[in-house]
Amino acid sequence: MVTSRRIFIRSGCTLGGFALLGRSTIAAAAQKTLELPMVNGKRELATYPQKRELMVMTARPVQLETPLSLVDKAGAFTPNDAFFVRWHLAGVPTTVDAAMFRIKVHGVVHEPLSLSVADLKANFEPVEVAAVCQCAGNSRGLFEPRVAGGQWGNGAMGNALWKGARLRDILNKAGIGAGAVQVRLNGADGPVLPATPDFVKTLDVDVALGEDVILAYSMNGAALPLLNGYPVRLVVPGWYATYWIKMLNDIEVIERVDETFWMKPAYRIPDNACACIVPGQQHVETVPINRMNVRSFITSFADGATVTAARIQVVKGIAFDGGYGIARVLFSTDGGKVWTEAVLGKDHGRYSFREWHAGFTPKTGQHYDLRCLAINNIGESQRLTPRWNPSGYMRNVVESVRVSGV
Amino acid sequence: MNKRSRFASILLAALGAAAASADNASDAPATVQIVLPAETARLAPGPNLAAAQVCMVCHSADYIYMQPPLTRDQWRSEVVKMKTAFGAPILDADVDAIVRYLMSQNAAQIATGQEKGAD
Repeated sequence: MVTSRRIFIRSGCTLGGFALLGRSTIAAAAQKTLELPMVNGKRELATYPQKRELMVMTARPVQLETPLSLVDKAGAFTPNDAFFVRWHLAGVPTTVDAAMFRIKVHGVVHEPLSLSVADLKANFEPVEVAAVCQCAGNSRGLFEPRVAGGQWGNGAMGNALWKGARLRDILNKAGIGAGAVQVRLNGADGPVLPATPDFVKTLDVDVALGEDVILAYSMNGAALPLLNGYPVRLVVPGWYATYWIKMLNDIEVIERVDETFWMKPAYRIPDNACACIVPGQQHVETVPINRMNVRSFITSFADGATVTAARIQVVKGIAFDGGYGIARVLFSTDGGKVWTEAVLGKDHGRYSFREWHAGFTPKTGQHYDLRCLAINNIGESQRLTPRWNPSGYMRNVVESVRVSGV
Repeated sequence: MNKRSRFASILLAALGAAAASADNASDAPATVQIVLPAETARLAPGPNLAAAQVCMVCHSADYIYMQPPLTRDQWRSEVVKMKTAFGAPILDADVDAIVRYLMSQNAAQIATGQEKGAD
């Protein structure tokens, strides 16, 4: 826990080397950037279509990170225009005619279907679920030793109230045939090159039939932003976002375990209790990443902040897990030596962000190492030491926010 | 306003209803069209820059510059992954050249980034 979490905004050209080639006069103008606490952590801030100003991790394919300060402002539900964006392949449709959009259901089914968005709304029971969407690699940039991949800070997560039709109801309408093993889910995005594996993800039939797995056409009471999967994305509450296929247009029931690229070797975790290895360890059995672990964050103070002394400071944050629900959040001002019980906010359901708050009275000139530790309803808690795996997945160590009283 | 903000625009050609009211089942779904901001990151000068331009076929330059400094073996495994798993049109003969370019960018990043604190 020696990395600096200091986050600050400043103006200047992003990575000086870029300025030497191919910059127009407009591009050479000062850009707002934000510094994540990692080497090469400078991120341009930019406003994308249907989005407010977010951190640009990569422009193509589009990957945008939500600053934690926005999570703090939003509380339990992340506004659609603040929600992080992550595409795997650059062939993202930029025009979507939702009236013409069709979702094919085929494979090992009795009756193949072709469903419009209107069909989803009119012919299937609408279901609402508050659920956290979190990238498997959220916080990858904080891994030590560092690993290659999308270098997220902690902002590849958001919570929304999703509304849509159950995948189960759709599969039951099509009628799952004998021998069905998994359900393959594909979206309208695609690769630049035909040789690149299309981004397709697959769930076991029993997961796909879960009562909370929905084809969402509404996010926080509005249509999904295009960059979050308009007009329909899969929502798999409790599971990492890699399965939440955006612009979902193809559902195939298959008779085998899918071992194509994005299921194997991509998005795999070590097949052990901690999903971790020692750096350099070889020949480790792996399984597809699946349910999220428990996490919590302090959102109301940035690392390195100064706080007014001699009065009660309210520390706010959020906690979530993979669907058991948050039972407790503990709070410490001394790096985890002494813990006190934080107060939990409103319960929006077991898949949602759970707000929490705690208070402390800083003294002038004193330094504090603020930490929070969440425990879910089956007793799982966050790790006190970070796990390591080669893909940078599933970080859930107790994070540290250092502040000083003034 | 930075460049992206100026270029970012959205066109909502609603067929009967605004997309924002999609919650209502009776609303006709809308066509949504977006225009993505132009990329700002470019590959910086370095040895074998021409060979490295192949990377830009599938992704923007910031995909490279966000990475932590990687070892020669790590960069090589990334290049080989792009070639074999993702089908990038990289000639065997160019792998070493691209790895050399990427190694040069490690140093460039550190020189322009946090180490010197220069913007």
